[in-house]
Amino acid sequence: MVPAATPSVATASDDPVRKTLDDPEVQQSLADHAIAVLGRSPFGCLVADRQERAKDACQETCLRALQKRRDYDPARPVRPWLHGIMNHVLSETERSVRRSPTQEPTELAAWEQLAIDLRPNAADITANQAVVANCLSKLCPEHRELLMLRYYDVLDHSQIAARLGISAGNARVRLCRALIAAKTIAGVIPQEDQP
Amino acid sequence: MSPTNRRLQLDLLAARYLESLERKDFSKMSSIWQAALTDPELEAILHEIHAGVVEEQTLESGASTSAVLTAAVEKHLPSAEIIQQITGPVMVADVAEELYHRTPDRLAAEAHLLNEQLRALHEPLPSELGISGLTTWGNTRFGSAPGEYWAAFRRAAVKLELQRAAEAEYQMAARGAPKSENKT
Repeated sequence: MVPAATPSVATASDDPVRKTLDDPEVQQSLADHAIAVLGRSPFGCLVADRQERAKDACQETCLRALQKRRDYDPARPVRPWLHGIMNHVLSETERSVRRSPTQEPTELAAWEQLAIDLRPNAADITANQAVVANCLSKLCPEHRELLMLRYYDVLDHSQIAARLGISAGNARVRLCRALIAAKTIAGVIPQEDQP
Repeated sequence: MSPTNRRLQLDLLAARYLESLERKDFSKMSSIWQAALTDPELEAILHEIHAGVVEEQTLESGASTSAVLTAAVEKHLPSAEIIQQITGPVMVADVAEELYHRTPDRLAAEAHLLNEQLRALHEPLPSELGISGLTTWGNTRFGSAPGEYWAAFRRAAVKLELQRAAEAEYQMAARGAPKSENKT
């Protein structure tokens, strides 16, 4: 009896998924993704075995990517697709710990408000100028300085990093934190200051 | 979309991603990764955020280990002095801290007030450390202060500069010398 033909496994050279998974830079970026998410417990403290948990998540991601590689659309880049899978794996890992949160509608409104307040031409409009000034005045000095460097001095991240003597990644994270703080304030200001 | 609007949009997406990551809101994270499928610039930013968060966690973890060790040494070896390795240029705050711990005699009250203010100033010393240059710099930045304060500040600054230079030299000297191949 002749055994049924099984689909041949693509070699690394002609399979973009395998090829990307073999790239050390991609492996590192997947590990960073996992550590960034799993490195901190839901209670905010650092998790001691984060490297081990991240390694497990990377293994699982590679396995699923190889299993699903026929679903992959070659017209799209592989890396974000892999990070999407990693996200699912991390979500499942964390689901066992606690219920997954979702953004409140008020949060979405606050982000939209901040996008309007920080629009480049917003500073030319008197009403918005007051809102932006009010928002900035309520931020801590570190966050205020970052937003000023980014939106008033129009520096990019590497320039901000050089100015503050920190890495570009750190500058990016600090700017994100400043925007999150500004968003919280932007979400509060309308109720506080407007009739 | 103008480049500045695009920049702002990316910044806000990045901030929302970090917020979702810290709240472990995977559905929001997924939707941002979905957007990154067609936006390489956004993808690069997301990688940068991961690297930044990992760097923060690594620093935090090092600091907490150091704090545990320091606490253990202070508890079990109370007579030991913990010497922290200080690198980088001498800051205004370092000099003010030195003056706070080793205050010269007969400093006026306003000098103490100024010193308190300078203890929080984390910026490098002015390049000109001569007494007249230093006094001009100080008076321009912080208003007039007693001359003896700036003289004391200068002495402390020079002492710290020399100490820092000696420590750097010691570190260089403490390195193992390369093995000479032509030993006699």
